[in-house]
Amino acid sequence: MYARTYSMAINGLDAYTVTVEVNITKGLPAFEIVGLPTAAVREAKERVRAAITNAGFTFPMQRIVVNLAPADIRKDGAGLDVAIAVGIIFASAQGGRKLNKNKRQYISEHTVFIGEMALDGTIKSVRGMLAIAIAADNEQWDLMVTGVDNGKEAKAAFANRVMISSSLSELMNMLCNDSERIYATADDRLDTKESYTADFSDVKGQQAAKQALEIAAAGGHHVLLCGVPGAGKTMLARCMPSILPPLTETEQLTISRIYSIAGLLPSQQLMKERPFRSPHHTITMAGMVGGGAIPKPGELTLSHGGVLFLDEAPEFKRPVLDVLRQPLEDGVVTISRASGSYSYMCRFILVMAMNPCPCGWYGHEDTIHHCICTTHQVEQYQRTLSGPLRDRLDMYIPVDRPKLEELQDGGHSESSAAIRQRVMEARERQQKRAAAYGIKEDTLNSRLSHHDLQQMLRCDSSAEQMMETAFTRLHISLRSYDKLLRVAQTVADLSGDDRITGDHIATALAYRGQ
Amino acid sequence: MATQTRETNMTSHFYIAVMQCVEGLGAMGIRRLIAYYKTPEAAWQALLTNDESVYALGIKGIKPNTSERTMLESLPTVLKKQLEYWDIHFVTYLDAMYPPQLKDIYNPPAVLFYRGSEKLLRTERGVAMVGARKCTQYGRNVAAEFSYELGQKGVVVISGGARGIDGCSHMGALHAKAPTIAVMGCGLDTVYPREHAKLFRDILLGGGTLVSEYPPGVKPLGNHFPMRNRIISGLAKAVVVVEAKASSGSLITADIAINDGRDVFAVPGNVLSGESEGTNWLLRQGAMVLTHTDDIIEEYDWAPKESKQACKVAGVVKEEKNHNGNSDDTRKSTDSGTEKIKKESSHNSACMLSCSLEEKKVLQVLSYSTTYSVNEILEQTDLSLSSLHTVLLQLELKGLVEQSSPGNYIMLTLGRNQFVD
Repeated sequence: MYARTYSMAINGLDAYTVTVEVNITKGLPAFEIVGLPTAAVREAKERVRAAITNAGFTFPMQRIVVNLAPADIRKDGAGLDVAIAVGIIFASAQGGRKLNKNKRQYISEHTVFIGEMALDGTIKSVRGMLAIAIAADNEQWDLMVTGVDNGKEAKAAFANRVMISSSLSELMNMLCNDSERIYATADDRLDTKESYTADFSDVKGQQAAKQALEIAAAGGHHVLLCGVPGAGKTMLARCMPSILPPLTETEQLTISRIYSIAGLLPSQQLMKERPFRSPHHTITMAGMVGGGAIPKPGELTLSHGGVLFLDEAPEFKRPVLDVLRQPLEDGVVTISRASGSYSYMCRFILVMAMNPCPCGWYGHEDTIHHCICTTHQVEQYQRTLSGPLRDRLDMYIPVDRPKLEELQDGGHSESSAAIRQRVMEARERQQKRAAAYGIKEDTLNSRLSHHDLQQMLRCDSSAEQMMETAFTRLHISLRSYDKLLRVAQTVADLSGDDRITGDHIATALAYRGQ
Repeated sequence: MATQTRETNMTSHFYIAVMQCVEGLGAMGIRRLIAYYKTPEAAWQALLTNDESVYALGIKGIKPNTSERTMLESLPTVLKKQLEYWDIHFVTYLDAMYPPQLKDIYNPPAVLFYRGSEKLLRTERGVAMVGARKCTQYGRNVAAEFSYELGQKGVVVISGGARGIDGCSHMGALHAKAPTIAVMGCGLDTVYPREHAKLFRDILLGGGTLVSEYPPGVKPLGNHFPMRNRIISGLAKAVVVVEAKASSGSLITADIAINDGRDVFAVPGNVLSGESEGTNWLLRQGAMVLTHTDDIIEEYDWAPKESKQACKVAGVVKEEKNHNGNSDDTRKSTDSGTEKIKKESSHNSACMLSCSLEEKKVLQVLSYSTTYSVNEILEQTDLSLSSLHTVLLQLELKGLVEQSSPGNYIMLTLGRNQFVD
């Protein structure tokens, strides 16, 4: 006896339809799964066998062959369990008296089953539901069947009905025996109440650093925070997502999909806050870009649309830091595996933090703290960030320790919301300009090419004069020249000026580093 | 006739340089050998043949190891090639060109390898600037500023090639377009420290000299540096200790200098930071206080008028060009302390004159000795952040302030002022 059901599996950041064929023939009792299953899928045998029995069905004591098509892609994950179970039930002609061949066929051709089986027959949630739902929606399936916990996530992207059930027996009853079906309802997506834990109003003093981060947020510039231990670099970086514009609906979906595949999506809802990832400095290259035979998204991709914060940047392994170069440039990380090459998006703002030297006090000695590093150590430490990587950092932000008076000062510092308002206005200005020059609309200043810069930048005479003096006197390289103009343009956008003035150039130069 | 003798001398004296290459044989040993065998050539032959008297002189001689012996036999040719390749010259203690002031120190070097001007080595107006490699901004400023002024007054600044005070001293003097002497603790084929490659090139281009007792190929080992210090103080008339901690190599140099009859000056420093403990200790021991370069000029009666001549002796064509509006002022400076103070304040006010009101406000906050971060300046002025950025940039472009590290500003003294033409 033969039956066919459909399910979906994940490949990279996308999902594809898997046809589950079940054939039951006479012969010695056996259960084979073919079609490049990974270990997790192969182990479905035991789960499905137990679940079918425990749900009150009979597990056929015959020769069962399950084929997963397409046969040449490796199938990963436990999401195929339900489809296999239903396939076996259908193939062995169980599932209720009312179920005739035609009805069976109708159900199996119009439904996609997603879920992992527990031994007692309950259906568990799977990782990457959102990606599956998006793909299923594209393929316009009529009905999706999944576990209760996955319902809202599935419904968020799947336009047709999503039937949810807690167990295999319940599922079969709803599907075949006219017991009342339960459908998932979606959350209202526009109800985006963000809850950022860190707010700029909690940061006392640090005016220069705050201004710099505001510029970085507005123009999407990558930055390096440098300061003595305890100066507040981490605190400042943590506040960064709260001044970025709120996520748009598409962004929400894109980011949630990544988090869903990584298994990091908060249950039953989409990502509402911009991601803030701060991997520990022991992270490996695979952890950073994404690893595995079918690579799971790494920290770079998890930071998409948000902030990637590398604290104690020189402590990271050099290869891990250097792997950042291409993604920073392209906004995409490409990973090649035997099964093909995977491109994951990763447009984020990179915030790095470092001390001036291994002991932390170089150049900031006071009566208590002295730098105990040798000159050589200091150089080695600072050289960990390679030249090409430094080139991709637009701004260098010195952070010094706030004074005691500043900390005790009860005065109110500006809240993130107020700063965000300015950032959003500046971004709007950038979008308008980009549109006027026929550049992709979401191109922020930091991503303007040299050509675009030449085309769209308008400097007034004072700015040109200052650029000229600075260029010769401060030994600014051509590459830094473009970098400076990009930052200056963002400063101008923030202040609402159409033209770049001398003041804007001066501000950009103040954060040029060395 | 005379040239012929000189040439024979040259070939003969070449063996002194060769003997310097022999491991375990120092300046003392070389002199003892030559005193016994009369000519350098004979001494070298004796070494090669393992003459018994060599041992009698208390010199270890050469081990009867054949491979080592063949290496030694090829030494003269190897050395000659290396000297030619690196354009290194040498002067030995038997030469007439040997710096006379070196002859009266304890254990003068048997041979000096040098690149650049040879006449400069015989300068009578040499001042050694020594100090810590790891120094404070204050030390760097003092070194650069004093060297700049000394350079302007025709004094030759002598220092090591190390980081910190050494490097800043050279830079200051070079900025005054004055030649300097850098004494190395390694062969002149090695650039140590690496980041001073450009500085050394500038010294050579500026008519200065790189000197070392060590032949090419010798690595900068720790024990070479105290030996090098005796040459630094030996070449100079006076030794200035700019900044030294309680236990510092610079104090060893000061010690050597006193034993060799050189004057020791020390720059007083902050008593709270340990960085100047050594110099302050020297002062307590009776070193001369150096608060202004005129202290040295007066001590040796090096009147500024003759400075041009001194430079000519040093084989340098000094550009008679005012470096800025102030150098006139500097040249006319007279002896009394009150006028010095006047001059310093006039330097400030001259700079201040060309500044806007806002720039003056910022300059009043800043100082020459400690750095101020943008936040600190912001607190003490009523400027907005963006206008402060503009003001600081203007001051930086004018060459009045500098970022000692990004975001930390310090006022510039003349010697470190790179932009005033």
